[in-house]
Amino acid sequence: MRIPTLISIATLIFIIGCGADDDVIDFMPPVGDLTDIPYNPMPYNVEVPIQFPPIPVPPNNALTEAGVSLGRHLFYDPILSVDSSMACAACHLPVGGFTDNQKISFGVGGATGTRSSMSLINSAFYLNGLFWDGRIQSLEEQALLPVEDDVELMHQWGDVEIDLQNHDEYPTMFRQAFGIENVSQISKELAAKALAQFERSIVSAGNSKYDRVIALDEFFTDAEQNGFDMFFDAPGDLPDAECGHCHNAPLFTTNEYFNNGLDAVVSLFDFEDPGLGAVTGNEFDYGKFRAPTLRNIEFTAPYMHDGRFETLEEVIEHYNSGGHTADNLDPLIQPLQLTEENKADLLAFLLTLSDTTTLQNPAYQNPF
Amino acid sequence: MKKLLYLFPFYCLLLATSCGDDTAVLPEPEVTDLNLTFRANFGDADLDFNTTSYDYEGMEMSISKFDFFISNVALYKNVDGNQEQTELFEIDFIDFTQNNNEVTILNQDLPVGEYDGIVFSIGVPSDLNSQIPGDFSSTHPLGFSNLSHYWADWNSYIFSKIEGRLMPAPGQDEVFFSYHTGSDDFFSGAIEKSLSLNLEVGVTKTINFEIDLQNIFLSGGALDIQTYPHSHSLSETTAATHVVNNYPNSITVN
Repeated sequence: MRIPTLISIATLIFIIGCGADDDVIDFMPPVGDLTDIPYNPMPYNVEVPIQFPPIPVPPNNALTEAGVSLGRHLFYDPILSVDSSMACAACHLPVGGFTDNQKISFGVGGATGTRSSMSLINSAFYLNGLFWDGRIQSLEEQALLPVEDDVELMHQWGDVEIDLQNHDEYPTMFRQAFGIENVSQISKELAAKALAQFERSIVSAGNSKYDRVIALDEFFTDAEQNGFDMFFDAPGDLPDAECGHCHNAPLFTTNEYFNNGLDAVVSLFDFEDPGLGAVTGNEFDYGKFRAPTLRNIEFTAPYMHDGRFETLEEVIEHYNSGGHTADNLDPLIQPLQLTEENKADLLAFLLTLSDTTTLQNPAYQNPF
Repeated sequence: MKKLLYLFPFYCLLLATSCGDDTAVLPEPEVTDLNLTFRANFGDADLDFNTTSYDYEGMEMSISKFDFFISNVALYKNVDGNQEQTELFEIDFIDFTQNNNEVTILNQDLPVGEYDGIVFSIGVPSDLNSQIPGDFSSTHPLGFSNLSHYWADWNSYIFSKIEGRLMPAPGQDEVFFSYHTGSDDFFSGAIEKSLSLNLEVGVTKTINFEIDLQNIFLSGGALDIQTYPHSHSLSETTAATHVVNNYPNSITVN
C-alpha cells in the first residue's frame, strides 16, 4: 500500500475516532453518577419483645431496608480492615452472642486488644454510652472507631472510602440507602450510619424462656424460680443475690457503670484498667465498667471486661464473695452467703435468658 | 328608602368584616418562662459526692449517689379561699450525682401573674407507677434511659436513691449504705411550699429548691445506718420510711 493511501486511511480513522469520542461524551453520564439508580427508601421495621418500647432512632438516621442491608454487608466485609483480613463481625459473631468468645479481642495480624468484646444485642437501647468505658454516646460515633484503631482493623477511613467508591456493588447500595447522587459522596459518615442501622436492628427476639414466662406462656422450674427470686430480691426465705439492681429486666442491664469489686487496689488510681475513670477523669469512676446485658449470657463467655472468668459459676462465686472493697465499690457488692444450691438455682435462672432465635436470625447472618 | 336599600349590602359587608376583625384581634395570652433549680446540701454545705466526709453522729460519712423523681409540679394561687393550680410538668428525674449537684428545669409559656406557692410530690404517682419502662419512650424519665429506677419485684419505680459510706471508727469495717424508696405506699403525696412569685412577660424567674440531705438522715432522730444499711427491698422499710417521712421538711423553696 502506498504511503498517501495509508495517510488517507489514518486520517479517516482519526476523524471517525474523534467523532466516536464526542458520541461517548454525549451519552455517558458524568463519572460516578448514580442518579439512574432508583432511590425508594422503605422503612425497616424492628420487632421488639414484650416490655420493650419501640427502638430509639436518631432523627437523621431512620432505619430503612436498604440502610440495614448496607450496614449488614459492611459489618461482615473485611474491606474495612487494612489487609482485608477482618470485619467487624470478627469480634461480634452471632454464635457467640455477638461477642468473639475471646478473653481479649484480637485485631489485624493478631494485635492484642485490652478488653473482651461486648455483645451487640439490644445496643439500640444502650442509652448511656457505649464500650466498656462509655466513651462514645451513639452507635454512629462508635462505628467509626474500630476501623482506625491500632489493635482492631488498623485501616484509614480515607482509604476505605476510596475502596468503597471503586467497589462494584457498594455505590449502588449507598445510593439505595442514602440517596447519594455520585460515588464521591460515599463517606465514612454514611458507612457509620449504615453500620449503626444494622446494629440497631439486632434486638432480642423475645423468645427466651424468661420472655415466655413473663408472657405467661410457660413456667419456670422450681430451680429457675428460686434463681429468679434471688436475682430480683423477691421477699421470702431465699437470700438476695442483688443481681437485678445492675442487670435489670427487660434489658438485663441498667446501662450504668460500676466497680463490682474485681480488683484489690490501694488507691483508686491503681486499677490496671481505669475504665470509666479514663473517660471522665473522676477519681471515683476509676475501675468502673459498664454492666453488660445478661441476655444470652450463656453464649458470651468469657466474662467481665477482661474476660477473667471462663464460666458463669466463677462469676457467681465472685459476687458471692463480695469482691474487693474500694472507696467506690458499689454498695450492693457484699458477701451474699449463697449456698451451693442457691448458686445452682441462680445459674438455672441465668440460662433462661438464652434465646438462640436471636442468634440464628437470618437477618443478622453473614450475607456473603 | 331607596337609598337605604342601596346601602344595605354595604352594611352587611361592614358587619361581616368587623366580625372577622374581632376574631383576629383577640389578645394573645401573656406568657413567660420559669426555671426550677434544684441543689442538694448537707447541712450548711453544698453536697459533694464521694470526696467530702461529713460528720454523722461522730462518724465520717460520704455520699456517692442522690436522686429522686419529682412529680405533679404546679404553681398555685389562692383565690377566694380556693387553690387554683397551673401545672408545670407531670414528672421529671432529679439526678444530682450526674449533674454536679445542680439540676435546672425550664418551664415555658406559663401565664403571667402572681402566684402564692408551688406544690409537688416526691416519687411516682400511682397512675404512672402502675406502668413499666417499656410503656414510655426510651428517653422519657420513666423509660429505658432510667431502667435502674424500676424494680419489677415491687411493681414499682424506685422513687429515690441515696447511697454512700459510713466510717464508724478506726479499725472498724466501713458500712456501704443504700436507701432506695419505692411502691405506692412511699409516695410523698402533695408537698406545698408557699412563696411570693410574680411572673412577668420577658422576665425568666427562678424558683430554687434546696434539699438538705443531713436533715433527711437526722430529722425525727438519727437514722441508725449501721443497723439499717439498706432499704432496697419492701421487707426493709425502716430506713425507707425514715427517708420518705423527712423529704417534706428537708426541702426549702425560695
